[in-house]
Amino acid sequence: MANKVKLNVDRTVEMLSAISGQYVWSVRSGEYGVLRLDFGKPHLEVRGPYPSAGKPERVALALQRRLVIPTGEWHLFIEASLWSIEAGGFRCDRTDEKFDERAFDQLNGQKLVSAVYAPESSGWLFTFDLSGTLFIRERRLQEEEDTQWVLFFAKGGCLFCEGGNQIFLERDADA
Amino acid sequence: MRLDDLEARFAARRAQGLRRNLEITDEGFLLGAGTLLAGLALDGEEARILTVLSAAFACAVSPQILDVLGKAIALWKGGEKFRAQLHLTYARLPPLTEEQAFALCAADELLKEGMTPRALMKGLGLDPTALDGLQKYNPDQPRVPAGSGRASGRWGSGGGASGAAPTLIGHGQALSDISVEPDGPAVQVAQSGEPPPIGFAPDGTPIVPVASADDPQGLKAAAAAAQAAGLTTKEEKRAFHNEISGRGITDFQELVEIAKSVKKTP
Repeated sequence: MANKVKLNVDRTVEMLSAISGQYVWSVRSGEYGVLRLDFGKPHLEVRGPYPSAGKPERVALALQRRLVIPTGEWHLFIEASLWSIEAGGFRCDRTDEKFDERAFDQLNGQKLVSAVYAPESSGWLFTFDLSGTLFIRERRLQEEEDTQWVLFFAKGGCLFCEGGNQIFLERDADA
Repeated sequence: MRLDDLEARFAARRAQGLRRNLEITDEGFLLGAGTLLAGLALDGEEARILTVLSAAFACAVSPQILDVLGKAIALWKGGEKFRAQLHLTYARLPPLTEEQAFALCAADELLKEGMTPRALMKGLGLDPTALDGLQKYNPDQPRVPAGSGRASGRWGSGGGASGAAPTLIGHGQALSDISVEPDGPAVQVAQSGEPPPIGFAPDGTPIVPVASADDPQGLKAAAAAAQAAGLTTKEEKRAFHNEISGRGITDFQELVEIAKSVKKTP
């Protein structure tokens, strides 16, 4: 189980400032257009294998393997939100027909300078030291409870955004 | 009918709660303040359904939503109640606001009082040609599945007199993605040369590769699978996404199986 506490924008900006000065790395897109970015020192996250006997073939293939994923001290997972990256003269937007991974490549290795809320566009703007930017703005898919983005902490817990730019801090109750 | 009467009827219904999203029940499709959008049979109700939805959202609604409702009915009657409810997400109707719920209720009452769908559409300043399209609508005609990222099953308008293109909503089309051709007859854009399906939606609808790398429909299916499997924490959901990433799994039951497996054991 987990508990969550609602945060205001100021408090959120303050928490995000913890990753200022950190390198961003492993910028990549995932299933359904989600975006993932890691910050800070890497560690290996190991999951699985899971019991797969009797499962359909594709399910078994996914479960029977062991996943070893290099993950940063902070892992930003952009789920429902629209996102766009501009870096090194390249641009990649979630709504693009095909993602231009050169933008990911150019953003990789840049240091985060600031993460601020832009009220005029209801979004979050991350700026980096080599002029890279990441902009995230809300997209309602179905419910207000849609997770827009999550910043996971290697030490446990996360900061996450739901519809209406509501930000929460989630901690494992047993942590 | 007097506005006071409408407001009184709405208030009475509203007291029972507000459904912001379309829900299928044994009674039929419920939305808003207990408005019964349709029973579990659509025959003869098509124009009314489109009209009340158009009234609620203040824009013409695509007749293709009827296809979504029809499939949901088939799933419900086949005992696949969860899948029927999930299938309604393909209608892509935005969550209803209080004002929209009132408009829905009012339109429903006016039609019950004997007003024709066409008259109501005109009275609301909406283009009634969507109802013309209804007569030409063939639910058996193949279309690009909802959520494919393309303008699946776009319908044209025979209007255009005003020059302003009303917005169509429904069936996998985001509000901002949908437009109506300003001229020409109501036709469904032919879909040809489609790539082969990469998987299947919960109802068995083939899913073709998306024109956009973004796939909100797939994201919603994954979220529904996570919910069905009882994933509660963001960490569990992240682990689930890690497991499905790059696997191309689009079958809902398979997604649920994987989600169950990654759920933290207490």
